[in-house]
Amino acid sequence: MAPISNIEKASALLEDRIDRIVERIGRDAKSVIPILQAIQEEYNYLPESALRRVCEITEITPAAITGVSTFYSQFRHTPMGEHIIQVCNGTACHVKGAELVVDAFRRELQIPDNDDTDADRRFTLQKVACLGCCTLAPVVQIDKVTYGHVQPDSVHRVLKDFLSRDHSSPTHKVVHHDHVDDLGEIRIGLGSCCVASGSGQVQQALEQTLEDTNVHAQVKRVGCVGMCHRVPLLEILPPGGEPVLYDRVSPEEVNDIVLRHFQPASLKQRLKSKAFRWIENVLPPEEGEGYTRHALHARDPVVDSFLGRQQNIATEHAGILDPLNLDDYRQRGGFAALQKALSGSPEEVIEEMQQSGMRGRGGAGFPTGKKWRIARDVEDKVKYIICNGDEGDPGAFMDRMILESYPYRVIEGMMIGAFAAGATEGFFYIRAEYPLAVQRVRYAVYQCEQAGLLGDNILNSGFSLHLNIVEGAGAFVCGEETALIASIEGKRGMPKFRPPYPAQSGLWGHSTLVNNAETFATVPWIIRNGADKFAEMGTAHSKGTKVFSLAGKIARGGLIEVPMGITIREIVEEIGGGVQDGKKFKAVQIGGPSGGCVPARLADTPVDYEALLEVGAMMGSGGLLVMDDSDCMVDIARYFLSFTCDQSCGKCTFCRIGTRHMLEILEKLVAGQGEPGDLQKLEELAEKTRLGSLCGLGKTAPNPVLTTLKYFRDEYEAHIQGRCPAKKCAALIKYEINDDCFGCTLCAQHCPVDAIPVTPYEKHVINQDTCTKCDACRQVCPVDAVRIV
Amino acid sequence: MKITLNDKLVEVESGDSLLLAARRHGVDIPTMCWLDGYPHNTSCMICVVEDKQSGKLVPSCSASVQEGMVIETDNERVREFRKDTLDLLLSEHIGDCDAPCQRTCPALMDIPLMLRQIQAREWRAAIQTIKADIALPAVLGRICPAPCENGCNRGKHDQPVAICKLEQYVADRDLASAPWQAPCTPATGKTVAIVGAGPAGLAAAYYLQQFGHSCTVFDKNELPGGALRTAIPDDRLPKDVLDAEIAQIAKLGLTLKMRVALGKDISLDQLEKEFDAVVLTTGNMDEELYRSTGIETTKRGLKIDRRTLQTNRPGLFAGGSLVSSSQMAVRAVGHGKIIALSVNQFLSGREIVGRHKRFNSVMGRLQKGESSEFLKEASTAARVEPVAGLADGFNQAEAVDEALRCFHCDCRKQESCKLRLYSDIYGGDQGRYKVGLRKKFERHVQHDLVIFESGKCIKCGLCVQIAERAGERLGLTFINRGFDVKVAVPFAEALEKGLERVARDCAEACPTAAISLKIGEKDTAQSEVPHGD
Repeated sequence: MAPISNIEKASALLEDRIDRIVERIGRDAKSVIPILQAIQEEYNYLPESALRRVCEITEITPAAITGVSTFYSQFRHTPMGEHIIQVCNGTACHVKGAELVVDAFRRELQIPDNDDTDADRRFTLQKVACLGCCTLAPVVQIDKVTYGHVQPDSVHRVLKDFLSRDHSSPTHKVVHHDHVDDLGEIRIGLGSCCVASGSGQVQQALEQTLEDTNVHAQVKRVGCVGMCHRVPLLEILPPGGEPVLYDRVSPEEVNDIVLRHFQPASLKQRLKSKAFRWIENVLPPEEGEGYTRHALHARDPVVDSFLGRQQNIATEHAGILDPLNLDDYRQRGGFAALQKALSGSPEEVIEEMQQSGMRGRGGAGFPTGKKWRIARDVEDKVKYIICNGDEGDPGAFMDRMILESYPYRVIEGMMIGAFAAGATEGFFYIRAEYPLAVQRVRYAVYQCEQAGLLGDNILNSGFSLHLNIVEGAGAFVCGEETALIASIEGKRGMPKFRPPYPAQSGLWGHSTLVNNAETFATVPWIIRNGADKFAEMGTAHSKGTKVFSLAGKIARGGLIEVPMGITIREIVEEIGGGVQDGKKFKAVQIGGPSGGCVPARLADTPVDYEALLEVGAMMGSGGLLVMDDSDCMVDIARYFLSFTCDQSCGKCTFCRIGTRHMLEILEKLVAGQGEPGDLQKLEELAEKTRLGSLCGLGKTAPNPVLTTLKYFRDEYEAHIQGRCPAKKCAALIKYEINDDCFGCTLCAQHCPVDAIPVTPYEKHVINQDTCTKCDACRQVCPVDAVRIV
Repeated sequence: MKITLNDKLVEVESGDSLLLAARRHGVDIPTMCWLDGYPHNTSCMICVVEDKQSGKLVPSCSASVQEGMVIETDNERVREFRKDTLDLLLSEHIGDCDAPCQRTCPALMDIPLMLRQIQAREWRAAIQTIKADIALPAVLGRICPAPCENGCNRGKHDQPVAICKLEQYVADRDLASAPWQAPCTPATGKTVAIVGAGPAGLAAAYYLQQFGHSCTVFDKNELPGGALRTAIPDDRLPKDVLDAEIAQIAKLGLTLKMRVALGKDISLDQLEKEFDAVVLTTGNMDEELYRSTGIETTKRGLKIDRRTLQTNRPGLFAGGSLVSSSQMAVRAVGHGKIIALSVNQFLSGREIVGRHKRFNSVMGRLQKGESSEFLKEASTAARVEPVAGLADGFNQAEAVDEALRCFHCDCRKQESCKLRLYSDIYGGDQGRYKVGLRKKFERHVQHDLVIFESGKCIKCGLCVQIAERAGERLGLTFINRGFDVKVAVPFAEALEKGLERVARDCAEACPTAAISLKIGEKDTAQSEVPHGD
């Protein structure tokens, strides 16, 4: 027998792996994205031989697989390093200096400009659209470990910490508690923000403490509380006592917190436990070190003002509900709306939705009931329903939170929608960047199927619905419904001209109802409580509530649900506690890359679809980014344009080329190379792109530019004259050390490029040629001697 | 159902797109990314029309007719939008319509075509190409400073193609035996007086005779040729060459009246009275003479409309060094052609526009590494030095070898490219939106039938659709997205692998010259175009 070469062995192995993936996923054209995702999961990239093999054994053509795999950001065609460093490039991270963090990683790992991987191929550095942990900005994820508040001078420590971890053990383990005593409850937030900030370790410490102390308390995972600025959160409900919320809890503190509220089973165990120290110290709890500063009673003014103005509809039972516990959901009224709907007719449901005045929460605000009516009226034997969870706005994370924390509620809303429209098959389209959301929705769908809530003849009503989960692969444009449908069909996410609308001809040519995750999450409340009650909230044309992710330069960022009609100022000042660090409130960017910048002087604008449009912004996705006077509006416009330009599908002339030219002008401006006439040209291009683009992405892409030009034109003009009033644009500023410097050398020690010679007890000087303007020196200077000029 | 189309109530088929409905009523709407029988792409946006009720501009290829619509297909707003579309597409269009050599030639001679004809040893065709713009090629081949060679892209790689010497070779060869004679249209009965038998005057007469107008050329000297005879030494321009070439012009039947000086022997008034049009190409500027006749002058010479070369007196045209400070004979010859066109327009009562100027996409200077793309179709040899010496010029083998060095920069779809066509109609302006760093020019030549130049692609997707429908094994696909989107063969395979069956269809459907038929193919496709003997 002839010897088998290594190459043959390797190729046989590859074929075998690919064959198994295909076997598992499917051979039809629509399977292309899941297949690619599976291949990348296996190889960390997409080897060409693997793609060719897929074409051999499936209906997927070479043209399709090449087109699709180069369209979505998720896919790579070259091998990666051993670990992947993902620096979040979301809006909140951007304003908090993500770009400087990228530069710092580059320097630290000596990654050349034209590459993304270090010479040893240990780390691959990537910028990602948004990790959805905006309140922890700047955020970095290395493999599955997330680091928040990363600064340029802390990347060395971050890498060290990452390498010191034992990566063999799973990061998060699921713990089940079977014995439920009426002894109280400990709630731990396990939303993505919480997990990213270390709630996994807190949970482990909690398990350990309960085991060590033998305290009998029920530990309950709950979804997002919204107070992402204070994660990780631990809420203690002592038997018969007031609930106490602990914020920014570290694993070391868990033991003390638990013992403060619960009696260990015996003295022996008490002594055995780490709580011994606490007894020894005999300190009154309020004065104890380390944790008391975190104890917050729900009645505390801070918590009260954060939560007080909020109204939970989509986020009903926030912080109480176990996201995955179907019984818990049902006990709190879950699926009552479905039952109510099923006991009536689809017409009645649609009538109720129309009465409520509910409008789509995806951004454009199309009346939900009307959309359902159109879908209902189309005659089609096969109809589909789609939940749009492709939250691509780089500063928004409410869909992620809703899907993670209330998967059953979204399913229930979808079921009601499907019943109304007459759909029998549905799809969740969720960004692959939201693994926790995908995992929880998948689990929740499974639970519903087991409980007979999904499938054929649901609750003996004759109504059937099957739900599938599709993971997006990184394309903002897929938030547009026709592009989303193309993506589910296994194509490049290119939008189509409407009409026909998806309700008339959508997925595989059939009538398709597409609603956003938040929209579906609001439906059960409306059906349960009635349209009138919903319509009582809000303004004349914007009813109910809206979920926002509040981030940026705000004291208390997080996830909030507020009644429509509340003003931007109320959100920023009352709920958010105003601007961070005592700086001046300058503007909010509302609605992400499609929205606009609303200046502080227009902060009394209410949250209302039309009112926001009037000031040039839009409800959009619900990202609400607060900016202070150190944020440069030209830079913000450039940031959003670079995002939309990168996310444009490239189909129509105006979006593909128009946004590019706008970006080039903005890049010239921030680089100090602006010329007179640039602003007119920018305005002209913005206007034409708005007018001439095929889909919403291109039509709204100019909004950030148009609004900043409208409200902050003087800043643009200053850039043409070579000044950045916010002192943000690197090409237009210089760092200098003034006479207050007493030579402590801290700046020199922190400078990543050695641009400051160490001169103890003498005034330090910055070498302007090597300075990268990373801001590290200014941040560490104890006497504010480093100034930007 | 009924819609209002350009103010007319018309009956339309429900389900039709606005584009089709308009076409059925004889209203033409421009399209680039749309091909009958294929699903709409809604990519280029050139086909927008205005929906007067919503005030929106909608792509007519994609929008369906709705009862009661009010549509305008060609109003000012629509035209402006189409221009915007073109300006954006042109801003990323990497390619030249006319080659840089042709653009820089003052006589705008179609140099690349001449070079291809030399490559193919089509000598009769080559002399026709030359003489279409240059009336005295054997002369100019010897004395022209060759601005075309400064423009030649090959020069950025090694040495420019020896355009001038090649022109000389073709012209000399033509004169050597049975020279080609330009056909003249039947006499119109119109007469033109040309004062000055220098290069400009002779050239004007040469083309005017071909248009059927009867020319009389006056000159104060003994012999025709003007400065060509008096200012250039014999070793640069032998007199027998000049005489031979003038004789070819004279053969077309013009009348030469020598030793007649304007202002002395004959007056301008007299000429204007006796002839239907008058052309002044006297070379030297006699200010006194012209001022007395009321013709406006400038520092450079007679004041003329630069496009038409008409003076402020209707029917009076002027060219050559009389109107410009340049002494270049090639410019004078070029003027002769423009004057002939203008005079012909004047005599036939049409609007006088001179030489019709088409839109010209300009790629600009070659960037590093781009010459290798052009070398795929050109000989890599260094510039050929004629064995016989520069004065005698090339022999046939040398001429062919030298012509093979041409980069073929000119577009292969100069006439059929829609981007150029619509840019002419709507006033496309390539300079309006400048791209900071343009993408690299690419040319794929391996395919038997077609050339693929990615920088000319407008990403319309027609070729992708055609290949897909035809069931090509690999076909074509879009790669990447946004501004970086491009069309390519899957797995970076060669074009001949991607287009095994429908290359010709793709080339014909491609609205620009991104995919174009190879030269030989063009010949068979357009066989009605004569190419000499």
